[in-house]
Amino acid sequence: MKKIVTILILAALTGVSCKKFLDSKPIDFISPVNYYNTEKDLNQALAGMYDRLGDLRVYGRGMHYFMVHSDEFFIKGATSGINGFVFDASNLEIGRHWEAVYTGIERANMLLENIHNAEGNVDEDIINETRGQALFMRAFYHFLLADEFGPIPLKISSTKTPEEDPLPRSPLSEVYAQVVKDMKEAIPLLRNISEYGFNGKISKTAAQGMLARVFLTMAGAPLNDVSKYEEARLYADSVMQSGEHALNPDFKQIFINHVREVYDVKECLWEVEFGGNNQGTIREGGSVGSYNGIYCTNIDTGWCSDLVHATAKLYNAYEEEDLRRDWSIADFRFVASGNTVVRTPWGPTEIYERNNGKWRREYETLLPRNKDFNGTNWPMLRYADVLLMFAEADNYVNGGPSPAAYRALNQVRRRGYGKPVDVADPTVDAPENMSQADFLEYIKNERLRELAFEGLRKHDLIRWGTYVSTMQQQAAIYDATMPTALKAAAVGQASRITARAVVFPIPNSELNVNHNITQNPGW
Amino acid sequence: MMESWERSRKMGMFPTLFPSPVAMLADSNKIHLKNCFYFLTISCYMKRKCVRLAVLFLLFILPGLFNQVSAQQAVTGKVLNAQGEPLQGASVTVKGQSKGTSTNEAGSFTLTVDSGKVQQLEISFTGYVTKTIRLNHARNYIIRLEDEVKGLNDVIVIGYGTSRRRDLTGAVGDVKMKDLEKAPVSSFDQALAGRLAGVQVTSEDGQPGVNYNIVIRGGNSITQSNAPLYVIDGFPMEGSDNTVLNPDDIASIEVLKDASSTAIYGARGANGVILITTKQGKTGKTVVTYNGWYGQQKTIKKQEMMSPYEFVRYQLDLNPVSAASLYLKNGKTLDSYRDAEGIDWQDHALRTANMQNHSVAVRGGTDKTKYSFSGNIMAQDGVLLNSGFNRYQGRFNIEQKLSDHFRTGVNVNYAHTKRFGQMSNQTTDNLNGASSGNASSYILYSVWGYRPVSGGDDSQLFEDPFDQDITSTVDLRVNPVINLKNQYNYQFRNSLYANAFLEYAFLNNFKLKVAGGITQNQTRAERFNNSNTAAGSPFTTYGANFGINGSISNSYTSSWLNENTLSYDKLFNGKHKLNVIGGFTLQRNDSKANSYTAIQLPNESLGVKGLEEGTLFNSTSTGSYSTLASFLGRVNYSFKSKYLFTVSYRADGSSKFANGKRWGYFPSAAFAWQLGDEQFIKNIDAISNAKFRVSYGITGNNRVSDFAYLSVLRQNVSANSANTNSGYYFNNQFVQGTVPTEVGNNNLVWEKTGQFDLGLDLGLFGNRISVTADYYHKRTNDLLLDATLASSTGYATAFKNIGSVTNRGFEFTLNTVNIETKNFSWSSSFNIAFNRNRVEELNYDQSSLTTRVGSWSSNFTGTPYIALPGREVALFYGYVFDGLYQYEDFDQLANGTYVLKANVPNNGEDASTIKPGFIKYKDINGDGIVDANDQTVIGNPIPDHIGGFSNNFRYKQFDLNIFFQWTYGNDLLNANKIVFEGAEKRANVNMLAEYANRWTPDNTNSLLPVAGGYGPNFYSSRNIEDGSFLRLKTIALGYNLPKSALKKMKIQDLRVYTSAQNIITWTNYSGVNPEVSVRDSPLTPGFDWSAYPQARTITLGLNVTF
Repeated sequence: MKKIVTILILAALTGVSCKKFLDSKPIDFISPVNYYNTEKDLNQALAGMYDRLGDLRVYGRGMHYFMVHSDEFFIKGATSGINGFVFDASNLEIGRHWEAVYTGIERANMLLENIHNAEGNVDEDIINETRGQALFMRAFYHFLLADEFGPIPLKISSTKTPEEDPLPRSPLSEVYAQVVKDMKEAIPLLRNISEYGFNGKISKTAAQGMLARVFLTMAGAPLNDVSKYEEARLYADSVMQSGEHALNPDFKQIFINHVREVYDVKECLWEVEFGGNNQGTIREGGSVGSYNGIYCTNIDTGWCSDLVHATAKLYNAYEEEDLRRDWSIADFRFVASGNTVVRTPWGPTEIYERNNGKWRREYETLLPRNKDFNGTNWPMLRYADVLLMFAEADNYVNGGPSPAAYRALNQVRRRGYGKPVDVADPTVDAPENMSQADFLEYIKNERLRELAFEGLRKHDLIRWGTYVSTMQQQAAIYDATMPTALKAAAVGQASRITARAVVFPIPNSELNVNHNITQNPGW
Repeated sequence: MMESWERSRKMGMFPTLFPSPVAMLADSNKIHLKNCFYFLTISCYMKRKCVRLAVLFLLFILPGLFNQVSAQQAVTGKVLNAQGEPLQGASVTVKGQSKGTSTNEAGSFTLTVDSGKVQQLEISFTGYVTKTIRLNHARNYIIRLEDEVKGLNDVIVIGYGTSRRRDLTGAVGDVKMKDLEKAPVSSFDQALAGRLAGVQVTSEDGQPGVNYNIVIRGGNSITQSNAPLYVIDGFPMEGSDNTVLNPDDIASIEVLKDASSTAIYGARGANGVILITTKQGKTGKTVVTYNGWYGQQKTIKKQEMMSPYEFVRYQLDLNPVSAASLYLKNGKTLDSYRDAEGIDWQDHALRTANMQNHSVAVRGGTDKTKYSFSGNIMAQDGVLLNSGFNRYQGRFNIEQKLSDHFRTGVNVNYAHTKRFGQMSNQTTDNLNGASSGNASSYILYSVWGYRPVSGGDDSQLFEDPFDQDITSTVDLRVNPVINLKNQYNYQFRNSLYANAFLEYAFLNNFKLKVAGGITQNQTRAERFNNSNTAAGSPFTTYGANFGINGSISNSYTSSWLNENTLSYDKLFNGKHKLNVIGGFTLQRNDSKANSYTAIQLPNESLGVKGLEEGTLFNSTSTGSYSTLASFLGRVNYSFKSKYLFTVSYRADGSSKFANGKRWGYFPSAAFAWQLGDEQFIKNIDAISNAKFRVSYGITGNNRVSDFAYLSVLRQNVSANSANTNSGYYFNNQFVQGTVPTEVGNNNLVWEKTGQFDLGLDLGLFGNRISVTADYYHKRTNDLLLDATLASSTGYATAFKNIGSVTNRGFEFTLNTVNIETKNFSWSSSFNIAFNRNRVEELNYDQSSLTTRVGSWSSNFTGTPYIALPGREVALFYGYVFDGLYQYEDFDQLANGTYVLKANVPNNGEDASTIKPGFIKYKDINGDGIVDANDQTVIGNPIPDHIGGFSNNFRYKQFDLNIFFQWTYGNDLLNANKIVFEGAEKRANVNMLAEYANRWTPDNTNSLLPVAGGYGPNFYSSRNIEDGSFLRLKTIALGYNLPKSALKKMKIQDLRVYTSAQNIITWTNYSGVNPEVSVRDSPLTPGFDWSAYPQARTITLGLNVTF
């Protein structure tokens, strides 16, 4: 009997220690509550937040071509999938794009909500700078999605539990109001780009320039809030007045710099930074030039898929002397011959055969080359764009082009022809005394010429309200003028850009589990 | 008199209201007339049996009366088997005493017994029914032992104890080990399919050394594993590796199916429990056994590919210009290929492979010590070049009686296994997480698709590792023979299971058992891609990018367990039988893993040993653990062994949940009624046994990640998952990113399954026919779902308790002894199970859950599976194949081109690209275009019923086992047919032979699309096929040498046999093998792509017992 009692006592004691036995602690990851304490923590959280820009479905690849179909290029041979603009809400790429950007928003929210952990440990300036970056990125990610999908769920706090009710779509105006609010709040917290000396982080002028883009977008379709031209002009102007930026005198050097991973903080306000060739444990390479570049089957030379082809419209938008043409549109391709490749020029009539030539892999410095990945940066905002935005906004605000607008436009043009930017040159300068409408039209074409293949054309056409009509015209033009071998795919791609295509469908991966969300019309 | 009474009672001649004669005999040696009278009285009470009883009385009682006084007496005898041959080593003991002996070579024994009392001898021998005889006048006894047949009095292992089969209240299936042993396999699970009703055993494919998937009574979980809990010699394990056990060591396998039997395993019992008990030593002479077999395997079926002529014709159809330049040069015409031999790559990549197995065991014991030592070597080559599985395994167990009160024992199993070769259902270019997901990177893609002729010198094609005419950057096809031969792909595993116990029996009825055990598994996977492999050659994208490369990954799992149980066993008043067990257990599981991959290795000759010389490409190091504390209790009560009640209760606390949510409570109750003991049944002569069972209980499932309740921040350098990859370059300097990767759920609780079971066990005609039928209904609530979150949350998935699933079904088992004569016997065992699986509810009000198939082809990004509330967990989902476009669907333009008529829907691709002979899909919603809205349910991968049919024949010394297994009503998605019937539009890829009959302008009456006419990369009903099959799985013919012949060789038993596995398969499935599921998960069953070919095996074997 004694023994039984002993056993019972023992069992009772073990019962008491059960709680301790079951209290487990994770041994290979950290928890949000005990992080965001040090400067290193903050910098790593920032890296995580920026990281989503480089996703293959965002600026890693998607925004180079398959997310931004426009009249400046077509994708060779693509009759199916998103490359051929044949897709629906179940499309994987669209789903992953949406997911990647919202993951970025969550990372920004987590940082904003926990940054107070660092107070007292970290210099206040650094905390402010970090907060500014996080605010801006949260705003930018929302802007990107709103531009692509229309009204989207506005997410300004982190997910606390998977059992939270998923977010509904917020009206576009609310989303934009929050974007503007965050960006405005961020600007005073940010540093000047000259203090950084590199393009990877958001500087004060980068935020101002991007805010100008946001306002210009709000001023156009679909919001058509024309009062925002004034603000767009203002923010573009503040970039111009900052003294931080200037045009690189050599147009092609901008892109060679991207490929060579050389910073030009004067020309470029913000770039998505890629690094390395994915040949080691760190795989942060991008595909700039390897999917949207000059066709090449040899890895050592710089492999590139034969996908992005310039249109005749783009080619013909340049004058013969415009140096930008034969850089932006490669006048040669690499023809494989055994294990070597031969640089072979295109004939004068072979226009649609030509590839995007802005980022040329032959300039890569990091060897050996990887088939797909490299360190080439992607320009998010160039000073030329700021100048053209200023000119466009100014033209609207002043009821016609002011001398300042002309000056901005002509700086871009002169550089394109290899001329000194500040010296008037009637051979290249835009015609004087244009009407407001003509000037706008001129700006539109200048943007096409200057910013070709930089992922902005579709965005521009949408805000100008001409995306669908332009693409339908293109379909007819392709049908009439394109070589037979290329025609079917290009006509198909352009003709599928109908009214619904102004926005992407809300991906099924969201729709299926978010009972608060609705699909875009037509999808 | 005792015996007479026992017999009478057993025969149910009278209700046990009458006191036992034991009491009356206790204080006197004399039998009073009064007592005899008493007996007569009760005998007469049994009206109909009266006469019979009286005879019995005379026969058994009276001789005893007159033969009482004597001292010691020598008893001799001979023990024979059913065939009349002497049995050596049979144990002969005096019942109730430790006195005993065993038989000699002649089967004879001599024993001295007290002759003063009524004595009984118990004769037992492995494989035979234990026999008890009562001693009488005779001095010499001839005892025949019958072959053991699983009967009602067999002891069955149940959770934390044992039970007689007749006393079971739950649904417990026990495997006929004798049948199972007839199929020579490397691990027991391979032979388990079709053996037990309601236990579905499927292989993903035929890869040697890979575990089979076992699902009991349908899957409960949608996203988590449905594998049962394994309890090996009392040690519960989630995710056991069955390949480390030697099938020859297994004494019994019991499968606990209903909640009454599984609830004692509480939180882990919901998927059913498989109890494996290994062989123990037995009292008596040391027995040495050797089991060995040698076998050859050959693929069941070859994939028929196009002949050289058809291949060239197809190439010319597909790419007229480039194909002509390759194949029609040097004056060759298409007709030149009519007699071309070409290369049949399957003949070179597949082989007849050997396998052999040798097991030796030494078992024996005294009344104090029982021991068993065994060892096994198993070597299997796979039918695909350079693949296989080896095992080196040893086991011992010792049980020692320390005193009348204490008993102790240890049981240790150690195994070293080696699995090697390319996993055929995985990409060849998988660089530890950096795979292309390109269909052409699979090994069987190259085996089937590599072209038979090159247009030039075919021997060059055979010798070159890479086809010169392929653009290697987009096509990962390689010479399959050279690639396979150069593969270095090994998985080594060391596995240790060890446990020990101490049992203390006290106060007559109590037993305290303290048991402890550990399991340790250490796995090392090594992979090396040299310059002649698809992933290492400079001529392929991977090789060009990464050079020669290799990886090593290690994983360790270990767990320890402590179980303390106290049991109480007592029979009150001879009719109330009570068995109570209570216990407390603690368990902890630890896991660790690390790996590294290096690229650009400079010295190819060093293999994986030279990894450190390369560039580090990937490294991981992870660790985690969980703990489980449990209290358990069970009461078995039976009244007169007729009304049986079981109540069990278990409380489990798991560290996998947040404080406050940790404990789960799992009760069960069952009632069984031995109808057979009731008079009204006994009156029916045909019925020899009948039992009715009913039970209900709740069991759980805690298979979530160890810290699913916590939010997680991670710093992943090179993870490839889009959601967790992190880090960024600032100023050309890499900065490690720290990112939230998982959002924790503090409210997580156990998944709970409530199961109701109704069962009937029936024995007819003296149990020559026995039937077990069960109906069950189980509903799983609070499903632990790795739920897809709205992407706008910033997370892909998180664990939630959401949704519910029901499984209901019917199981039927029929065992019959068809013929039983001295020389010939035939017995059969048949089982069939029907299960209906239904999703009741998904995440929130989610209307469906669609699932992709893990990387098999980056071109097919659709979701071929859907889970719909009200339907099965997995259904095939896609487009409905509607034949091909014919000329009448088009308008012909003046320039000769065909333009699709405006009223004819497209096929998902642009109408302008569609030509006659292209694939056509049904426009289900009739909106004139085929798009995602035209997808529908196109098949059901879940079978209507599954089962098996086993027959045992014996003719004199010969035995024959014939075993059939089937699956009926399930569909398969044949992805091989997608790729090799035109979806793969790459040049120079061979296609299936039947694709020669594709649509051409001269052959418009075909359902195979024109060359290049596959259209969009959709999953469609075209590739959904009926996967039902009936398979003659095993034939085993054995010959037992006559004992007389063996005697001289001092051999007890010797059986030689030959056996064949996977002999004939009857199926409508057009693929190589209908038993396939290469992406097996609850959501994605029945997918066939590049599956390792199943082999037909023929073996010769020898069983010897010394």
